[in-house]
Amino acid sequence: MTAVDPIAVAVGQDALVEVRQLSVFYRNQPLLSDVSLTLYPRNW
Amino acid sequence: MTLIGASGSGKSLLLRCLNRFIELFPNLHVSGEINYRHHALNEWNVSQLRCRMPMLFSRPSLLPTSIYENVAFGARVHGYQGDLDALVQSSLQQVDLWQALKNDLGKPALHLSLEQQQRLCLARAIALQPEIPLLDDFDTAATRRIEECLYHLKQTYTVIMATHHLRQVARISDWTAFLALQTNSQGQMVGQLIEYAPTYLLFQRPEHPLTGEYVSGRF
Repeated sequence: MTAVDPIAVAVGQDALVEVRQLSVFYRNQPLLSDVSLTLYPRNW
Repeated sequence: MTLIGASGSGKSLLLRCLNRFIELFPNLHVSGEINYRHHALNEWNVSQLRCRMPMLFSRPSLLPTSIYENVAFGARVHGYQGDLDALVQSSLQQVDLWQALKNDLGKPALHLSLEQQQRLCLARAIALQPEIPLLDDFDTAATRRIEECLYHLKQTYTVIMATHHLRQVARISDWTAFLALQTNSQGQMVGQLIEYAPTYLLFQRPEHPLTGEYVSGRF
């Protein structure tokens, strides 16, 4: 259902959200570890 | 973009980090970095950030007031200076509720069907003029009306949702991130990002065997 190849259009676009090595802890117990991802805007 | 994975894999936690909702949970703490439009999240005014990234949940959380007030409330609180009537109309049109409700705007919102209440919550979020609506298991029933609504919304907004409905993800999401519980070096079960790719690739040619097992329903 995607009209264009999202990989192709994402190259060179400004990142909207960048997540770098995100970890979440509950009382020092890790719940989520080392998440990294980049999100580009839907419309540009 | 959609976050998929079994319960407990960290989908909702990740969503809650994006608009700093996680700060409301005193026993949780976060390490690492998130930038939104090239600014660290803590550089943003938290109220402004949550307007740009409103969060919606599986249960509709409406105010015990009219349909109109439910849509207008957030925008008014945040000092919207434009034409409130036009904003309410536009927000309801975007979730395909305007035609059905335009003559009943003064009626109690809580009298609507559950599916209409969900769409009304979406309209309330849209009235804040967001950039990235965050949907946490929002469409639990996977109704066709809400799916159509989400498909329409993603033409305008960068929607991030966490869900278990894989078929719906395959139909409407452009990018998908798969998270799973893995054992770390200390023997603890921890949510990890396994794969993040355009949806058609993740479903048709997953790089990680675990992704293939999950999207094909083997666990």
